[in-house]
Amino acid sequence: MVLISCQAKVFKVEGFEECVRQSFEKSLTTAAFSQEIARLRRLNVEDAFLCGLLHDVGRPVLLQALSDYRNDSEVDAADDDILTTAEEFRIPLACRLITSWELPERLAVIIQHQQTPAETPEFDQQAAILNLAIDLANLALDADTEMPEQLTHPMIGVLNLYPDDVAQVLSQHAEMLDWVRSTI
Amino acid sequence: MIATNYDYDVVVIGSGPAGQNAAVEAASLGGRVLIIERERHVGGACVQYGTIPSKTLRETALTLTAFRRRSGGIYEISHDSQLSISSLMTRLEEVVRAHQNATQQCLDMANVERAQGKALFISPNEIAIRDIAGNTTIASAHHVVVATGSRPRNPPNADVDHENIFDSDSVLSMIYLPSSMVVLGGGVIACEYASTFASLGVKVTIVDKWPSPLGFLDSDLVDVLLKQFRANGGEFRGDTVVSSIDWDGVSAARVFLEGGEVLTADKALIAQGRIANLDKLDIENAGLEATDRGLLAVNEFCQTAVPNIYAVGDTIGPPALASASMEQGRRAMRHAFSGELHSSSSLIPAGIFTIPEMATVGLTEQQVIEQHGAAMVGKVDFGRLARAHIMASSAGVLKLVAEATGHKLLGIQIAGNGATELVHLGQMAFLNDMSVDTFATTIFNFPTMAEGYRLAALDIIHRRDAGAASTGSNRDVALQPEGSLS
Repeated sequence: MVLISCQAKVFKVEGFEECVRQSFEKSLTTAAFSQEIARLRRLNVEDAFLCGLLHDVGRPVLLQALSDYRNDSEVDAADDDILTTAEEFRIPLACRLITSWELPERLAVIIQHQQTPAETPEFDQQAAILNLAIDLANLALDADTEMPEQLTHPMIGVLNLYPDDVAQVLSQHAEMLDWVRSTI
Repeated sequence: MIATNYDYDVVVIGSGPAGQNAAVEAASLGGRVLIIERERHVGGACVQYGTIPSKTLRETALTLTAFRRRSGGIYEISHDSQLSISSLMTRLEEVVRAHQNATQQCLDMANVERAQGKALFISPNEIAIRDIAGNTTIASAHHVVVATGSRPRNPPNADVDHENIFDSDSVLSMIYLPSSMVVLGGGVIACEYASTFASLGVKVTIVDKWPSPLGFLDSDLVDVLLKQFRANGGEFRGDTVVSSIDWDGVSAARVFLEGGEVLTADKALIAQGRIANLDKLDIENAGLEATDRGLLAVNEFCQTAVPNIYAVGDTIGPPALASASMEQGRRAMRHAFSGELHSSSSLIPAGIFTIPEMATVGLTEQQVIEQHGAAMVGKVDFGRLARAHIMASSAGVLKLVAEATGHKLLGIQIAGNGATELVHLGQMAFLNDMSVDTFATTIFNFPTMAEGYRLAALDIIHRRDAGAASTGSNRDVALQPEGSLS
């Protein structure tokens, strides 16, 4: 956790500082939601947290690498091009990073299917948790949107979450955001 | 068909062993039946968190340890310290799916309808079903069966986070085998998990307020379990009261004992009983009231104080065995449909899937003494059975308990490999009112574990013929010397 919380400070990507900060903030928030949903469903809490934390780790790495390459070469790439490329390759890179860090393969499988949980050959419940947690994190971090008391989401059915289960998770969002902001 | 003014003859709430058997029985008796299940698949906690997953892990543990023993040291079985539990349960999904499919097929063949949602009583004959989208439908029925099962009872002094401190519903969500574990509780679930993890090399400490685990069992059986548990590195700490349990925030679960001692382990498991799932059913709308222990009180036909409502399985408390729950479901529906006044056999075997496993049917020695004044007991150590040696499973005991004259069989207790299957042979003898002598004169295959019945029966006959005093007075009579039975 100490290592992860320092990562926001490790990456110094000139011109993309806010994007990197947002990525870490969203990752931490996703991790927090993931572990609570996993706790509710009696699935492994640590795995869920790690998947949430690392699901977007490819983005800052790519931003750093692409930005460095632009600075060290004569390539004339616009910021938007770099952002688009990072978005396109962030998931496969996250999976490769997880493998290179010798983390369990299942984490890579879950993260690989963060947008397509129904297509995962295994760990479908864990991928569904990550998918839902990502959207809950986006919702919680959106300053213009008030956190609802209930939610419609395709993964709610997959995870068999009843309205009181969903309400229980949503009700923890303020506490989670406090934790995220104190961690970054 | 018995109902005319209702949607269904029977609505069953819960599809675990009790609920599904009630539903199928009701349907086979001609009723229109609806079963309500909150999960996506049928089977209840038995399939999701309980019997099926834990027994799958146990079977792998048994296979590993048996291979180690039976190979006679030719092959050394070891696993790395980061062994993933899921890798020990690779067949789990297949096992669960097969069980769910079989259960669903059984319900389909009986034309039992199914609804997914949470059930709440509106009245004694009306049930609201709330689905995951929050929509509510109402089903009315002549009879309602409450089979909602139970969940772990977590004490207020324990911070069960399902991450470091687990209950029995979440313990198998652990990814890796911990190096050490404290198990709180000395009941069936606690002992099953404790002995399984110990056999896998986890340093397990059981902490319980009672002097011995599984206090309802014959002490001979418990001795076999504890001997094996200790041989696997386990420790049982009885007569020990826990003040609180927490996580140190870094690497250890801490168990604070009264007196000041603190036990630490990688993980902790709280297994101090289960509570019935009645609190979200709005049972008061049906005129029902839970007992002080949070259960539904029922008569011998599992009928509650509200005559059209039956309760079965864990909602009515002990023995809380799947086998007993199934019978309760059937019995309830036979009573509902036929007004049957005589219950069927109450002879329900109990299987405890520890390592080694244990099983009982009928009365224990102590119960026979209490109810009949005295008992005559014959027992055989598995060490005397050729088959047990061949299987490298010679730790065990088979015990026949007869009335004082040593003829009528009243109880069978077995600890050791295969006990939960072996007990059924004795159960059949009970059901057919066979005497102790039947086992001595019946020819069994050789070498088999069933031979244990013959040797235990001969032990009783030997005592009987020798005019040995029945127990209550002398239970430590030595077994007959080797070779005297041939």
